[in-house]
Amino acid sequence: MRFQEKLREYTQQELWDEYCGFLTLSSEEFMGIQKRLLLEQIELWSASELGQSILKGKRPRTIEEFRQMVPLTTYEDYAPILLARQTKALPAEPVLWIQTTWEGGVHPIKVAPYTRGMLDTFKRNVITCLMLATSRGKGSFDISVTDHMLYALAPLPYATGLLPLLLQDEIDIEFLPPVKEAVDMSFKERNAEGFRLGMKKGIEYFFGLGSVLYYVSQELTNMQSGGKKGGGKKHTSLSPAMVARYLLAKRRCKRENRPLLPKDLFRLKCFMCAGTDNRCYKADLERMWGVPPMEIFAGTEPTCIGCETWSREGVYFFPDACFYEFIPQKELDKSLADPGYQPSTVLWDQVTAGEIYEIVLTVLKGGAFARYRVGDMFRCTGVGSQMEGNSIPRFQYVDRVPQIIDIAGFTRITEKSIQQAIDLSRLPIESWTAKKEFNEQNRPYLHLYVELKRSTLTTSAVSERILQEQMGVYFKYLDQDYEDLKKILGLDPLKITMLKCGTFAAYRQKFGEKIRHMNPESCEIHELLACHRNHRAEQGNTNYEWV
Amino acid sequence: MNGYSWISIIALIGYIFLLVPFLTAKKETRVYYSFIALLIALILWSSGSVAMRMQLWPSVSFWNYVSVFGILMLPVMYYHFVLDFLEEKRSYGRYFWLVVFLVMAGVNQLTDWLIPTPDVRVVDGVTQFVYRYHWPIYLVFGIVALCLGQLALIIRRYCKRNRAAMYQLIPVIAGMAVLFAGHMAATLPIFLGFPLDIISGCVNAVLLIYALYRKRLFHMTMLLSSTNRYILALVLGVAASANFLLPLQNFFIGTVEMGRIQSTIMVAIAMMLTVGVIYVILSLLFDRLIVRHDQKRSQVLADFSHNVTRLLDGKDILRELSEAIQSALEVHRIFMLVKSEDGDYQVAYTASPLEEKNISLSADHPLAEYFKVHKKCLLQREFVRTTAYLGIWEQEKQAFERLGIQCYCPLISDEELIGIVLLAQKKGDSPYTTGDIQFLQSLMAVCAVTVKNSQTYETALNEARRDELTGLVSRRYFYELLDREFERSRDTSLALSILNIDDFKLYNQLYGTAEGDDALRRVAGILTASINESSHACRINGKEFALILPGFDIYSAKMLTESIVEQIGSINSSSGRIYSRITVSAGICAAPYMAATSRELLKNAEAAVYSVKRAGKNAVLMYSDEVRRQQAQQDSHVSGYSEHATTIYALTAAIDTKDHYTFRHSQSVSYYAGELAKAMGLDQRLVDISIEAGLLHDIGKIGIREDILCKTGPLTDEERQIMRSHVDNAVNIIRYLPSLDYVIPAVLSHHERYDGTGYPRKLAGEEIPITGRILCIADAFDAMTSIRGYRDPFTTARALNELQSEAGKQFDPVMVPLFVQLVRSGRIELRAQLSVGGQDMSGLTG
Repeated sequence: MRFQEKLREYTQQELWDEYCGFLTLSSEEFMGIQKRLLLEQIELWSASELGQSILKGKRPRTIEEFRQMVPLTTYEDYAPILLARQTKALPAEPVLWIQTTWEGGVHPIKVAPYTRGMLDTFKRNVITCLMLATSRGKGSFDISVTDHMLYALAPLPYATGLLPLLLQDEIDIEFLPPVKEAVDMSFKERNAEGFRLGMKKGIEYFFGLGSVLYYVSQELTNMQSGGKKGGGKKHTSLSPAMVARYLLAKRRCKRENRPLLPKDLFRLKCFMCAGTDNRCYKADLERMWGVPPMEIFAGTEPTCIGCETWSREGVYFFPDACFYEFIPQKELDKSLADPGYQPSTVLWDQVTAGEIYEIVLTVLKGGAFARYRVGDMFRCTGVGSQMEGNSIPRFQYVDRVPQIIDIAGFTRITEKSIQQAIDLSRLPIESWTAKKEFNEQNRPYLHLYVELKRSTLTTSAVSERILQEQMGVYFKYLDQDYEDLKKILGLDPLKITMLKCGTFAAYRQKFGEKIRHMNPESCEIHELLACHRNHRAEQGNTNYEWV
Repeated sequence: MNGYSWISIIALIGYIFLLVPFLTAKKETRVYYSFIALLIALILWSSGSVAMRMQLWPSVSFWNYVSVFGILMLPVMYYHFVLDFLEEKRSYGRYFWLVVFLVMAGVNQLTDWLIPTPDVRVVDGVTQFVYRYHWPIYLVFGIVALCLGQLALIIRRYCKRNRAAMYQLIPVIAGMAVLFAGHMAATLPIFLGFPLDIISGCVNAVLLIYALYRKRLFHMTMLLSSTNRYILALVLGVAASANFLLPLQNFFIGTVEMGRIQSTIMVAIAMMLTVGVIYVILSLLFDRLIVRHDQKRSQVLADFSHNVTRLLDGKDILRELSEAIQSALEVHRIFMLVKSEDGDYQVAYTASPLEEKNISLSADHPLAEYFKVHKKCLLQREFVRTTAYLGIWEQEKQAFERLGIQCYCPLISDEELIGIVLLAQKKGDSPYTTGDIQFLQSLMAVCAVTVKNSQTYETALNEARRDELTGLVSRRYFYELLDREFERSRDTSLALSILNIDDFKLYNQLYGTAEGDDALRRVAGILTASINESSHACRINGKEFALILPGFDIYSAKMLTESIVEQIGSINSSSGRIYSRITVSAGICAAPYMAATSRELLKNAEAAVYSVKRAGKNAVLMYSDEVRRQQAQQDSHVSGYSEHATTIYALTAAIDTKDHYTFRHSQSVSYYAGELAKAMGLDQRLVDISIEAGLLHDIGKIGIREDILCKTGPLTDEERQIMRSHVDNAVNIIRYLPSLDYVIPAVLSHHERYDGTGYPRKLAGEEIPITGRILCIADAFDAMTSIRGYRDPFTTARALNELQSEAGKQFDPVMVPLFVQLVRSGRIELRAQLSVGGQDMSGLTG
């Protein structure tokens, strides 16, 4: 029975119990489901060629054995089989393959197989997300067949493209623009058409990456305020109700002396965002739409694994999507210092409130990934909530792991990709370190601290601006997503600070070790800059070497 | 009465027809009461209208007021009905609108202002009722609209929360609209005199019934109660006979020339018969068309209950259940899972023998966990909506889908989930109804009790047939089983292997009965693990086991038995224990090769065991002519001692060479012990044991170093320990004299003290075997009165005094006076001996 038919057949409470009942499971019940499903997955995965390529002949039978025998994995462990799409080597027959970019400039794409069971679970969990996004309290939600969704995410073969397909399997809500048409449109065309249809039919649901939602919302604001040419023309197809609402909103905005905002025209029931850096945009999005966005957590490898509730207090994981393990911060630090170190993990019911963890996933229902480091960090914000009447842990998305710099959910910049850009640019960079930082508007950017080779200083003209432009060119060349960041969001996410020659050496001399290339701690950057200043001060009375 | 009056009468009958079953039904929710109140309002309205149109007593205006009261109460009752239908408890409007409409009814009663009484006109002999409505009628409509408007708001608010309710409410809202429209239209001149309002009321009532039906609060069978059948038969009877009653009476008066009274009686009888016949026809019709279905189920349930109470076999009960389900629901794929010993639920029966039998649900399976809490039948479409379903494996989902499982039924008895019944789709893939589920739950309730009873019976039967300690077939059932298997194997072969643990009594005495029991369990475990499904392992005696091996010949039985004997031999070594090795004497016989009856088979196998025992134990022997001959010889033997006398003398002679004292001492002790036993009035068997044990009690000294044995000075602790080991040594020697092993308890305990401080087992009082206590006195007395290298012999008097002083401490306080008396009276002669050295460990002399 489709969800749409269930809406007629069952009461709200019955549907709530069906889809959101997991929120009130006890920890034991939740773990009971997790462990039971993992046992099935262990059997499937261990017997598969893919599993054996990692297990090397071992066959775990219990969860304890599984955690002992299977090392923590990354995509490299699966790449030979998955990239060749060897379906027979997988634990279960995939129904489709989902694709995403892997490591800008180093590896073009990575793919993940989706089985029937995974898709069914995904679908069910997407409905749960939708219900929770429209809920204002326990047991109530507001979903109607006549609703419209403005959908600002990429189509298939990306994971985000699955959502409209799965949703339409369950309910006839209208996507703006229709999915079939949207596939062939550019990002800007999609938004413009979506908004045009929204003005005609109304927008009840809005879903996208936090950064994209912000960009689209701003575009809407501009278009509504008539800030762009042709704005008036677009309003010719408005419904009478929308015209009335538009006129009233205009009047109110004029009285309040503020620009027209989306919230003046649309009453969103559901506002969902995904991806990284959502916290940078949430406040602005709420200001523009009058509704706080609800965060969901989904990805190519893990599928949809959790979402927030009406309380917006943190993400709750679904018990049937993946088996969750968590690497505590201390263990993560050890593994960063020593890449050969196998960090230990804790289970979902062993997390401590306030602690930060890297998540490790085993995809259930015949999924390919086992004990997989997907590269995301979560903070456990609490265990048990009075407001939600449960006793299970909830989490807040922190960021990608330090080895990866993700800007606004678009790029995944790694040490390798930066080094490759440097190499290609042939810039005389001696040493560098990169850190994700936030500007005054709380927007993320990549801050590259570089030190040039002494020997080249007299032979090449290198300024911060040249460095920034050259590096930007090569980042765009290597990474399509990086280019999209600029093209779609208009963001230039790169900032370069040139440090004096010898600064990195001074740092190493002072602290006995090199500064990390990727995302060193803020205090370490502070110390690096201190070395930069002190070194200059020490040489204050002498001429610069290159002069 | 014009044609329109019939409309009101039909409406009235219809309402009463609806009201009766609701009055008699079990009122589970408030909505039943509010529906009854609504029907009463409709009845008041219709009955008032009918009576008015028929101009019945007392007056047209009275019946008009009744009718108007019904009309005015209708919106309030509607209001209550909808709120109860939606299970909405919070509403102050209930009382407010009740008061408002009661006031309106009162005002109308007093002033005739709101809804005036119609004028009665007779036009061409036909009575007409002409309503003259004025503007106040629209006041009534206004207030009704307000009331219904508030109701609409409540409905809207509720439906926003609960979209599914909106669909349930559609018939109610439609009924309300029809009712309102009917009333509005009735005021129009075009419908003057036509009871459109009454018709709209009827339509409304039907729509309400439909709404209740959809909400599963109403069943068609409610309408077909016997009361309703009577009413319907009466109405139809009256209607049918209305046209011929008068002609019939005239016929009786005119043609038959009956009196008026007689003719009236005849007409009444005719009418009664008509009603009766109609009732019978109606009943048959209803039963065939509608009730038959339910009756069939009731019959199936009754038959099932009756049949299963006579059954004790679980499979028979499940077969009955399967047939009952198939018969009533037309489900052809049924899987019945019953809780196994390990707690999992495994297929015990399937409707078709060709079905998969490998379905198994673990004890903590989400479905089992669900049933432990909910205890009710569960449809697949509901199961997928539970959180329990989240934990179901994909392969299980696929299996359920492949088997077409639609319904899960728990078998629960005494709060314990003893089984789960899986039902596939019904014939024609029609969905399971509420009635089906109720029927299944009734079946399951009956079945669970009987299955539980059968399990209890099977457990009791098994317990009776099983040995409690080892779980093997008990001795009692062994004979039955042997006879049965012998009969079954007439065309093939049957081997019997009997395994007797050697010296098990000794094992118990050495390590205690707990260890002995453990050893028996381990032996049983080996036997069970070694045989196939058609064979049986039995415990036929304390230390004796039997294997009934259908289809085995002697050779394969011997191979198996040897393998088992080998495994038993390694029990303690494999467990890392330091206990002595358990050995087994096994005898095998097989039919038809060497036995013609089951009794002969058993006797021959036992004979083979006996031969092994006599030949030194710890071996496997097939029954043969040699065994038969030995058995015949053995039958002529009387005493085990006589058989081994030469061996015993040889052994004691060997001691004599090391320690002459011991040789003589043994003979003296044997004499004293025998005499004491005789004087105590013990039976000959115990007297013999005492004598023979006396001879053998120190035989273990043969293993003691000569320097210790003959040492004249005091022994060191280490030497004392070595010396004490002679008891164990003696036992280890005697166990190889199989027919003398009965002396072991006496030998083993002759150094125990009555107060519990002796050795080796520190037994006390009556725990010490009686022969051991006898030996203890005899041994000490002889030791005291003998000449030893390290001291002079005690005089007889002193020795007896010592015995007396130690009575109750070292010696049995009852035996000592008797022994003293026997010596003093001369019935026991002193057999003092001379010695040149050596130590005795009687305690007094040591």
